[in-house]
This record gives sequence, C-alpha cells and structure tokens, in this order.
Amino acid sequence: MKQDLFALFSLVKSSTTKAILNKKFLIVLLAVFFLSAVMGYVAAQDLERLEEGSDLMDFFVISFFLPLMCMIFGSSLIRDEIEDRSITHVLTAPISRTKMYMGYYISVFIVSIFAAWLILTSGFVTFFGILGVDMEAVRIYFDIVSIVAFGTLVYSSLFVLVSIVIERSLYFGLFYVFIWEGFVGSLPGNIKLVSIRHYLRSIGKELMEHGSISRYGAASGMGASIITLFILTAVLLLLGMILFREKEFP
Amino acid sequence: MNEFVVSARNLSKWYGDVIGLNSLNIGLPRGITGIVGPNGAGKSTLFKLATGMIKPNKGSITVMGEDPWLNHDLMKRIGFCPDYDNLSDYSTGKRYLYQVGALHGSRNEELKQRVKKTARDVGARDFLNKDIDTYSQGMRQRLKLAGALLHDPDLLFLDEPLSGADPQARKDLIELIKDLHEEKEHDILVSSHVLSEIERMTSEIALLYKGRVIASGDISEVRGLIDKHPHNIVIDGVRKNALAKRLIDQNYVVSVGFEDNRRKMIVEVEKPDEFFQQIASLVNQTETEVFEMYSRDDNLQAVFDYLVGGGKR
Repeated sequence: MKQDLFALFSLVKSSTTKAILNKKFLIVLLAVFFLSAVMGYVAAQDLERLEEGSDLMDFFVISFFLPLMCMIFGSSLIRDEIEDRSITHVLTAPISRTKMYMGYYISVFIVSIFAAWLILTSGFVTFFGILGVDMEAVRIYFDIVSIVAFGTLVYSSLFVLVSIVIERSLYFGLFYVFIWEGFVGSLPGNIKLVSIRHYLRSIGKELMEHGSISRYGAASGMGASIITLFILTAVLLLLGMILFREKEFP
Repeated sequence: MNEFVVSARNLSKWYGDVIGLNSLNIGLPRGITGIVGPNGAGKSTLFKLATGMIKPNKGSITVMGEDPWLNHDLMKRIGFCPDYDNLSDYSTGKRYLYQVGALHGSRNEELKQRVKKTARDVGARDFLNKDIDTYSQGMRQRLKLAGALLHDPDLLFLDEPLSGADPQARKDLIELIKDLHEEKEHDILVSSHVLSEIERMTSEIALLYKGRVIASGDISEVRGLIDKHPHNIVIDGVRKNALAKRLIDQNYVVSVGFEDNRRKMIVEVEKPDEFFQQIASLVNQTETEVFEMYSRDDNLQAVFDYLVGGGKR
C-alpha cells in the first residue's frame, strides 16, 4: 500500500514537472502579462474599484482563463504521452490503471490551479496595487480563488476524460470553452444549467458582494451548485477511470 | 514456476482489418528465446499482449502462469524494452531512470544504488547525465534496456533491441543480452528480423510469419527445415561455363542459369549440404576462378517463403 502510494506520488510529481516544463506553460506566462496589462489599464481609468475589479476577474479568470488552462493541460497531458509513447513506462509499472488515471488527474489539477492562480494573482496585484488594497479587495481575491478551485476540480476531470476518448481533444476543448461555456452558457433559459460556468457563477453569487456575479439572476442555490459540481466531477472521474482501464495502447 | 515463461493458446489480435496475430499457439521456455520474423509478422503485437498493453481479441496468453491484462502485480516481475522510442527528449538519462525506478516503488538510497548499478551493467554510466536528445541510437537502446532492467525483473521482453544501432553497438548489445541471462539469470524474450543476430544470442527460436508460429525450437532443427528446401546459390567468377556443365549433371542440382550479363551464375540445388561438400573439387577440376559464392536464401524472407509455402517454390 505504502509502495503504491509512493509510486502514485512519483507519477504525479513527474507528470506535473513535465507539464510545467512544457512549452505550453509559456501560454500561462503570456496570459499573466496580458491580464496584468489589461487590469493595469482599467485601473488607470478611475472606475468603481471593487465593482470593476470583481467583474474583470469574473470575466477573465472564471469565464475565460480557468477553462482555458484546464483545457490546455487536461487535454494534452495523457494525450501527448500516448502520442510520443512515453506512457509505456507508466503502463508497465506496477500501478493499477485506475491509480494511473488518478495520478494524471491530480497532475492536471495541480498545474491548472497553479496556472489559474498565477494569472488571477497577477491581475489582482496590478489592479488593486494601483487602486489600493483593503479587506474588501482581499475578500474578492479569496472568493475568486475558491471558485477557481471548484472550477479546476470539475474542468480538469472533463478534459482529462476527453483526452483519452478523442484523439484531437484540443479541438473539442476549444469548442467546449468558447462555444459551449462561452456562448451556450450565456443564453437565456434553462440551457445554461448544462454549463459548468453557471454553477460556478451561482457559487460566486452567494460568496461575493461586488460585481455582476453578485447579482447573477439565474443562479441555482449554493449548496445545490456545490453538490452538482462534486457529483459531476465524480461521474467524470469514474467514467475516465473505466475507459482508461479498458483502453489498449497498440 | 510454470514450465513456460510465456504461453499462448489460439491467441488472435487484430486491428480493424489488419491481423496482428492469428490463432497463435506457442510455449516459450526459460532462458533466452529469439522471436524472429519479418516486419508485420506479429512480434511486437505478441510483446504488447504479454506486457498487458493490449488485450487479445480471441484466445489467451499467460506470462509466468498469469494473465497480463490489467495485472499490475505481474509488472514487478517483467521488464519491457519496446521497439519504438519512448524516451522524453527534454530529460536526461538519469532523470528517466529515476522516474522509472520511482514508478516501481524504489526510492532514496535504494533507487540511487539501483540506477548506478543498472547503468553500469548496461554500459550507460558515461552518458547518463547528458540530455537524451543528444544520444545516439545505441545509447538510446542501452537506456531503454536500463529502464527495463532497473527493478530487476525475472523476465525481460526486448523488442528489436538492436534496431538502428551501429555494428559495434550491435555487437556490444548482443554480448550484454547474453550476459543478462548467463550472469544475472534473467529469462529473456528478444525479437529481431535478422536471424543471424538472434543466432548469436541463443539457440532457441520461434519463427513468426503473418501472425502465426511457423517453426519453433532449437535453431538447428529449424535450420534442418531450411536446409531441406532448394537453395539458390550465386557464383561470381570467370570460366564458369565448364563448371555449369559439370553442375547440371549432378543429381542434387535442379537448374543452372545466368544473370547480370552472365556475370553471375545461379545454381538451384535440392540438397545444399551435398552441393557444399562437392563444390570445391568441382571448381578445382574445371579450373574455375570463383570471386564470390553465397546462398541467396540465407535471408530470412526466403526461409519464410519456403516454410509457409509448404516446401513448394
């Protein structure tokens, strides 16, 4: 058991390191510069500090960079290893397939949450650094961090699953992030209930006191949203484990 | 332990319309066994089935008495060196081995010692700290071999371990594989499409062709089968006409022909052993000057063509 856990830890460590050292991580750094620049520019416009700060982080981090980061790392980690065949030494290690899958999921979760946190923090520091930090601003920051954590949990499970099912998982990811979450998720009516973003914004409505997220009209209850996201994560993980367990690597 | 390290019963594997293995029946004994066959014979498919990377469509395979599919405990006892390059280019050899060792549950001082010992055993110590993308093919093969050996498995699967290596590296790797069995007592299944290379490692072989075993056992028995089939022997030299006339009278010669602007004489013989016993005296008697003489059928493809053709040419 101890040896199993150590092997799992080794898989998480090596996969996480590999993802961070990958060229794809440059996208994170670009996003950091981009968001810092935008937040700095907006801050210089002398707007309503807490409202605008909250809205910008809601728009850029929760709705855009969070699913984007999970999509980039989730859809490529296992898929890249399958394609360059470096997964062979993992498959021939004495670790069960379900633990292997969990190892990859944990790696994607760590890298994605780190990337999203880096982007969020850079934007926050730039914006509130210029306009002034107080306890309200710090609270907005931690509220967004909580939503990012929930979001990473579920988006990672979705994109890791997609990566083992679809060969061109990046295209699916782009479709999902921009069309489904971005467009379908903002349509009126109940169709938004099938987007992850809806539940994240519903949690945000309960947590936050500033910005349009705090006035999100179509929100589901916080408890129901958290339970929905947990159940969705569990179902996606279970499905991924079953498919990975049965997957052949010719 | 089971009599055979690997057993297959009616084992079939197909990929869409392509057949990888076709009702294969085989029992591979302990020691070193060579799996020989041309490209597409099913060697790599057999290894992937044996290491649990793919599952059979029909039939069964056991490795040391156990089903390898989803059997992660079995992985402690086997090591796999694939025929493809599975090394990450942005890592050093040392990092790769530490990662492989950690996945097998080894750590700290034990892992350090294992990496050191295995690198020494496979002759990879000198280049272990260099980036993998600077490695030659021979170095890559050694590193892959070290990865397969690191956890000291009972049984090693080496899929085309000599492919791409230069002649010196091939020679060294052959010696290394022999040592792994003779000194470290690993059982080894090694594949190649070059019979002569396998012959230098072991006398126990299995010939695969189009997903089936067409001959297996001691190499001399298989060679016996090969020797029974007509050989095409090429003779290059001058004053060959006299030799041709004498050869056509011999009862073991089927036909004599010429090619390459009459530069080369092709002799089809039914009993190669008799031909090789008598050719020296015939050359002397006819005063033929021979520059070169070789059997065109020593290549593996000709052997397979003969064996699968039931002896008909």
